Amino acid sequence: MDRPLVMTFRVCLATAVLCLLIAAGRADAEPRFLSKQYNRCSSCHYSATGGGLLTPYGRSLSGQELSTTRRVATPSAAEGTVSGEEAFLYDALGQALGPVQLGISIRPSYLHYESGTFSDTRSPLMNADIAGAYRGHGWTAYGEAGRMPAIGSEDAKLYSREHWVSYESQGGIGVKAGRYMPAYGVLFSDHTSLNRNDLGFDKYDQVYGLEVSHTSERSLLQVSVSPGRAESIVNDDGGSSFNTTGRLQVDFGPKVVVVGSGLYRDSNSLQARHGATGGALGLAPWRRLTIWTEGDALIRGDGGGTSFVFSNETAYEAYRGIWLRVSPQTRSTTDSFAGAVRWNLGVDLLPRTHIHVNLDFYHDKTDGSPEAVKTFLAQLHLYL
Amino acid sequence: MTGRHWFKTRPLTRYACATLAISLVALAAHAQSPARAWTVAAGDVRVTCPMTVGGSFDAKSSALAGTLAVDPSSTVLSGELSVELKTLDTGISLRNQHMIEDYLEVGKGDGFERATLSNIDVSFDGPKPFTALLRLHGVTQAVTGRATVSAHGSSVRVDASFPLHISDYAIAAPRYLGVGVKNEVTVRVVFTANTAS
Repeated sequence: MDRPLVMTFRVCLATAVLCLLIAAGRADAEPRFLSKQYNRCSSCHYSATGGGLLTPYGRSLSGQELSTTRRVATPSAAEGTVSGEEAFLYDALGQALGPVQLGISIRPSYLHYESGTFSDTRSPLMNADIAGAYRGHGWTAYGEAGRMPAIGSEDAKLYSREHWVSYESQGGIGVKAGRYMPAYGVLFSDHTSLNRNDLGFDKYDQVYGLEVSHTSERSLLQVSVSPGRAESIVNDDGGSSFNTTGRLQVDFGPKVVVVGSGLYRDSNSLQARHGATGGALGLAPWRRLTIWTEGDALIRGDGGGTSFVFSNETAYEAYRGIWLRVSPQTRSTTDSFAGAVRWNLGVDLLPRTHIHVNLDFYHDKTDGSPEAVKTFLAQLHLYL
Repeated sequence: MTGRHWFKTRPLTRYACATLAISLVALAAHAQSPARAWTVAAGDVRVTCPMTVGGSFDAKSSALAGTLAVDPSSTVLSGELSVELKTLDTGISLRNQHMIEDYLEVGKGDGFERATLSNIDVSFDGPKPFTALLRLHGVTQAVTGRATVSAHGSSVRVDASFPLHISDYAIAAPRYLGVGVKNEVTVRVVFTANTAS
């Protein structure tokens, strides 16, 4: 095939994949890579909070270090970019995008759950997102667009999970404004973890706000203030109210991390005033083992009581690109809210650049419920 | 009874004389060569590399070797300690490859394969400042840090750390796809040495 024909084919392929996108998704935050001496999300992600579009470094790492099958020789690329298999759409666009980085995340899934005699099976396309970023001279402009799946009576719709602009000085002082997930605790890749959705950091809980941060060799401080949850502001559903979060991470070495967090959300028509405070410890005692443990107190106003949430994730890389996970989680009971115990067993397979297969089993038991809910989730996460 | 016969017939006396003679020879030898040698039995080198995006990683090696001669009349140790740079491990192979091949350039041969610490001037009581010469990447520079030397029977344990600036050793600024290592890294050397006269 001559070169113009190759380019035409590549452009057609890129256009076809873009057109096939129903909506948007995001690369997971992977705190288990602490065992590989990555104690900051910002090595691989544009967001210091983790998740979302991978930087060129993160793309390269996916191919060269995290996958079971190593990527072979890569064509040389311009400074600061990747090429070949690691690049956007397998380098279908070459250097046409210049300094702009793009990524597409598609996640077809299989979900089966049962409780007592009831069971159900679904195969949802959990998300499909496109994300783009430009970074230069300390500035980062970031945006995602994608598909929010149908939830309850609401149809699937197009939306942007995150869009923000940030600046970070040479001294490590940063400012970010826009729509983003506020930093709190450990951002496990599973948004249903009790330390995520229970505390109001589920997948649609981004805020519109302003974040101020300071990063150094040993610490990362992020403080966010916001008029409310982004979806509540957009839909004017009465759920928006002042909220603020703070997160301080202190690295006691490349494999020992301590995190302290706090949040406050004022009352609105959907929720009582509430807050939370917690601490987390990340350890990588051996080369392939990462242990994250987080404990939080969720303090509800108006007599809602205080729940204590505990989450642990222990991940072990049994073989290059094959991770085994176990995650016990609990939430204590209050007068108004039932306690819960969850066991999550998972396997993560990273067979090749940007291909990630999750196999997860959940056993959830809620206080007062006669039956446990058992869930099996299989996800193919393609990050192109 | 002749003296010779007296010596032959008294074994206890003969033994005592032999012991005395050996002791005198040993004392004379000590007086002529008071230095003692420390031979590294086990050691670790850990280089903490702060990253430009925040956080840090360690490059570690246990391939520390060397012998130092300790002269009680001086605080300067003769001899040298060295570490094979190709054994440094950061936990992932891509980072190792970049560090060893692209920045430390161990393939260039002599002067690039090892980092060597010599002319170590250290105090022997408690944590104290020390100075030394570090040869790295074909360049020799003075370094200053803190060291704790503690004796345990016939062995000695040394725990020393010092900062160094990568640019002082003509090493290119490590950068890869927007992520890099800051110019100042910290080296920590911990070793146990067997002492011998």
